[in-house]
Amino acid sequence: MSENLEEFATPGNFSYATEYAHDAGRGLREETVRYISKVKNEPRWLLNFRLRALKIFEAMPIPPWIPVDLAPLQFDQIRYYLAKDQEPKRRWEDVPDEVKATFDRLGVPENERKFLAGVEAQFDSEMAYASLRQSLAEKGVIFVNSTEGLLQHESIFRPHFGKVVPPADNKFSALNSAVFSGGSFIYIPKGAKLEQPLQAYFRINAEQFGQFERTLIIVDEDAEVTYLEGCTAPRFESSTLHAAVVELIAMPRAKVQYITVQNWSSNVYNLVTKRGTARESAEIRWIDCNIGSRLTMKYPCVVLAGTRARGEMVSISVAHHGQYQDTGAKMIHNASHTSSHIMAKSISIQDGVAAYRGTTRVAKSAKNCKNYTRCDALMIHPESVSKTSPTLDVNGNLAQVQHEATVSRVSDEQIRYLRQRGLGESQAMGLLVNGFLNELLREFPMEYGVELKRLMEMEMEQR
Amino acid sequence: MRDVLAIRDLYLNVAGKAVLYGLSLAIPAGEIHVIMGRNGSGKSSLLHALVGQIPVASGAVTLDGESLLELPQEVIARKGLFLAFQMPVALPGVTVTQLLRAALQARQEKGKLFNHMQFHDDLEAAMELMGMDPSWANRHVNDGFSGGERKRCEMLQAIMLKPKYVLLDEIDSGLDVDATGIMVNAIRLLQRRGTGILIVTHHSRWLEALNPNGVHLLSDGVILRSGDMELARTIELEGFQAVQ
Amino acid sequence: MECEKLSTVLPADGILNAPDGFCFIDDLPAEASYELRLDTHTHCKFVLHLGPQGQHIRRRTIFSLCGENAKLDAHVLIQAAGNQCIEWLGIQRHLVKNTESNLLIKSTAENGAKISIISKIIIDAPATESCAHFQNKNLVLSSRARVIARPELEIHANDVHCSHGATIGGIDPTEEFYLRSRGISQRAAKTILQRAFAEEILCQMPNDAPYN
Repeated sequence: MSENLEEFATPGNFSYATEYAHDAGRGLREETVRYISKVKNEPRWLLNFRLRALKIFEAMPIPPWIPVDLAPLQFDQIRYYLAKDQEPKRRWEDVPDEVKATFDRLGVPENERKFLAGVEAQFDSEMAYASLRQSLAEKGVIFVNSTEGLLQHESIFRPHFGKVVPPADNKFSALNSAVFSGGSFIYIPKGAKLEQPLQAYFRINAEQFGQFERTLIIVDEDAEVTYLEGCTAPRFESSTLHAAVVELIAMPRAKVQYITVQNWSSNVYNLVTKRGTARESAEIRWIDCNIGSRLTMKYPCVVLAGTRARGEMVSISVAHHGQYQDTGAKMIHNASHTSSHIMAKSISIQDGVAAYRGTTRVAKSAKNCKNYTRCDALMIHPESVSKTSPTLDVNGNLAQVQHEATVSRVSDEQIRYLRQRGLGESQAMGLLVNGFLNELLREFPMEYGVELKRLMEMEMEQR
Repeated sequence: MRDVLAIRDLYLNVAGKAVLYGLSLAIPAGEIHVIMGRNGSGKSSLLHALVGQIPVASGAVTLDGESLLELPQEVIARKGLFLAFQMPVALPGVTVTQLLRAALQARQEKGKLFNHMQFHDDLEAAMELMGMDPSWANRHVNDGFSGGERKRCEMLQAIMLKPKYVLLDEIDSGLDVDATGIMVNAIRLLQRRGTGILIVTHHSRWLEALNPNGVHLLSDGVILRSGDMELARTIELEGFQAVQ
Repeated sequence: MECEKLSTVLPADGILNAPDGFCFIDDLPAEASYELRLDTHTHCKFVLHLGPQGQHIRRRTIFSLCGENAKLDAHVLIQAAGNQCIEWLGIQRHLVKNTESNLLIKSTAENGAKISIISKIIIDAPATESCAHFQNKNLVLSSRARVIARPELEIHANDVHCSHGATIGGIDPTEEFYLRSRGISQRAAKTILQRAFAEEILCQMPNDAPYN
């Protein structure tokens, strides 16, 4: 079945031609789900899980509060499953110049560029990964993809799978639950503290990065891990819909840090459900940077289920021309003596829209809880747009919840001052924008921080 | 061409009003010149016009023989003209170190590697001269600074960026006795390096230690009178009308 | 400033073109919905005191700054008790340049009361050089009470000064302890602190302002 994929290409953006053998077809039907489950050799319970989720997806309407018209998505035209050798490929000549320029600026290694740009389906990381795999195995760490996790390590992952984010949570978690493939399933045993972050990158192959990744990370008591997802370099994604689900479970006294840098191409609708449950004295930190995509809707959540648990969110959101970044955080205090902290900074460039949506909720039974939220928006141009809608919902008199938001711009006076110091206008913008993001950039691992700064400087140069 | 910042016959309008009517002044390299004048006489406007922030109606401004008019502000800055602002704006999130590094890198020839070690040594020495403890390096530029701290930060930048000519807009205001002493030392250092210095000020006493080469009265849009410290003392004691 | 009661001056359609130099007092019944429009060079004040009377109280209030140099200073005090449910839905809308609005809402929730405060600042693209500020402080006084605060911002112009803040919490234990260390009973200490909390708004009210 040859395909004409022109309709997936955004005019003037990417275009490619391809031909491939067989696949799950377009549109989402029960046969599609059965096909996926069969190809992966899944047990009956998992097939049933997918089929139930499909029913839920079909029954749920598209949420009315989605800020952008989803018509371009055409659910019945999407391919919901593509196996390893079926990913469509592009020619390097067709990769836009500015993407190539970004690779140069960020110093992305040659062989990685082709993978990121969608020219190659696979990045050969087996060598690097082999030694890591060895040291992880020695510690009893499990780091596999979702299929391997549920099939080879069912007793570990099945009890928690779909519990933190149930299929019925929202339409897109239902969709993911029906057709998920790829993603990371990680188990960190009791007391294990990993110094080096685990990266999705280590396990690159076409299946790893899919439209419907499913990640489940279980950190057992007293263990610690940092997980890195994504990269600063622009990622080309042939598919327009990205509906991932990430579930984290931090057992008592465990610590999890989940770092995401998202720079998808501008044809992608990125609708993600991320949630973590923190047990007694556990800590979950979401560190999120959203630069790419046409629309991102992502509200990482921490459910503070055990006493003295702690949740944190650090969020950087950059909305360029034509982009809508709708991001935020949710902190749900269900236990006493829990605390949460949200720090969100957004930048709107040209007519980009950066929106913050957050919720902090304190249950009646949760005593002596504290939350602090701070949202800062930087609007670069007169046509930029910034929206903030936090919800504070407190039951009882023993909580302290505080929210602050500011809006600022780069002033002419600041630009004049920096020009008198010898900086050109775009250099001055780059310095001020990085100054705005400074305190949050420090939360990212150093290489990411450096790359993000370079990206922001490039952004300012282009305006 | 002699090393001089030369202003000839400068006409300047601000908000539709004529402010300077053919002002002429020369600041040779290594010399200290002072401009005094009533509020609203155009002293600050003159300095802003020299660095390219206000367009000039007519006249000539040359730096070591090269015309500065019509050049973009950052080019004028890189050619070696530095203005210490009277009320410098805050740059939240940008540290003093980041600002200085970015400014120095902007002046560097393409392809040359930035010498970070040298930069840190220079910064340490400059901060010591300015009586700043090490924490200053990480403070956000002018963010939450008192008036006096802003002036010291401006002078720190003047020392680090090594300009050929420095314009000081009321650098003495808001300083206590100790800080004034530090400022005088800093200006002396610049002078020893051969920097040409133009100071705009209302007070003369702090200038005694500097022994300026020229003191000029800006009035009616021109330099009405030029002299030496004696002129400055007269203005301070007897007011402007005594010298007009 | 001269005071005017909304019950007297609010037209039937609920839209009041506010004349300059007045302080408007909302003395309307339990459910009310209205818009105050401020035109060029109009400076007004607004006060509202919603007290612990009546089961369900709701306000839908729009403050529109339609003319340049319009300015509004608004103060709202909400005191809910028993099983009351009080809702505030407010919008500060800036349509043109050089406008200013400041809104401070304080609330106290006792017994099993529920308070919901949803207040939005909207700055249209032409409203450059405008200032809009919103502060919401909520004091929860019992374990059965509930407060929901939603301060929202929607900004389409970048040359503006805008901020908002909201806090929800109980009586500050340090403040309570201080009073008790001076020999004041717990009950009296709480009453004193509650009064002090409300005072910031009460002192904005004209002396004869009615209690809704």
